[in-house]
Amino acid sequence: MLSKNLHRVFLIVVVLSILLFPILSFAEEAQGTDMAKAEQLKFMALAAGLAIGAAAFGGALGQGKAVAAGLEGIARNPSASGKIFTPMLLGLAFIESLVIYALIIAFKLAP
Amino acid sequence: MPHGVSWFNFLPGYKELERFLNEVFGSSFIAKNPLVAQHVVSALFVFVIIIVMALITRSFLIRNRENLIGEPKFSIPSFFDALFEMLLNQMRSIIGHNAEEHLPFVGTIIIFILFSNLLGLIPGFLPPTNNLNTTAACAISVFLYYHYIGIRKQGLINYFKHMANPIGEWWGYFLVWLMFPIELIGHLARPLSLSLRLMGNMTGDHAVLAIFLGLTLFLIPIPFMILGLIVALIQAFIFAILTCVYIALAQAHEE
Repeated sequence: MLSKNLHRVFLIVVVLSILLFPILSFAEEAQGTDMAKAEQLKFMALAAGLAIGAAAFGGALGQGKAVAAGLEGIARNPSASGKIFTPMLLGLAFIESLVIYALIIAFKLAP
Repeated sequence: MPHGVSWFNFLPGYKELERFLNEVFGSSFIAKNPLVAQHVVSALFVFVIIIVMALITRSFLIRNRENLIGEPKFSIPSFFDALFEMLLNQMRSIIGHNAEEHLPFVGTIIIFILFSNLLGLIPGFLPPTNNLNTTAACAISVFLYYHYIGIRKQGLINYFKHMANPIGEWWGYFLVWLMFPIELIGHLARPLSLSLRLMGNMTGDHAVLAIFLGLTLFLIPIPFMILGLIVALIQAFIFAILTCVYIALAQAHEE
């Protein structure tokens, strides 16, 4: 167990490091000329479409396998369906979160 | 309603609040958005609702002090009773014997995220978890909390020793140069994934619902509202379960 003074020092350090976060907000973005930006926008839209397409494909495969395993478990032992359903839902949400990461990148590229 | 506008825009004094927040804070570091006031006001509204329900539950518990089994009717105290019993069972199966001391934190997280997500289902309201700022706030508090729990349970030096050398033997120290960066990246990825998962789910199904409502108002949006409800419940549950898993991993080496 930490002594009480060390406890206080730790809490003060944590609070200060949280309050100093806004210093990191001094970041800039890069611009280009008009023609280059138009070309860039076209490619970014294409990239956004491809990103979400590939992510949805992989995500659907993964979720299909997870649900297939879950359904087979329920079919073998219908009385354990509650115990199988909860971890299956958990696994589906984890796989879906990977697809959502790709969706966020696609939104960032081409809103 | 256009994007970013909700019923809170019609509150008196909302424009002044937005201008004040934009001047004082600017755009945030995490997600550079100019609409600073929207998620703050929505989160405050959710907090007001939660506090009102907590006060109702408290007065009910004070009145029925000898009631061990609990009420069979569906009311606010019995809803919280059922929810926390389910949550406590899950926590016991993940964390182990001392799950009760983590129940306040995880319970607060799950209640806040649940009601914020459900606020987004009411037409015209934007959920506060729509925004990366709110979800990053929740994720960063989880990050700091499980590190605090790990350091408190195992001591400062011991905690970093277990992070650098998960094996525990003397020959595990030869791999510190490999294990420590990997563990560090894993630890940094956890709040990132928590916040992005929640934000992405809420933004995504709100966007899908908006597209289908633009298509037809008659019957087609109903499956998407049901999907939105399911996603809201599941994402709150997932956040809480992952918090429990991280707490369990942080205090794992005490036995």
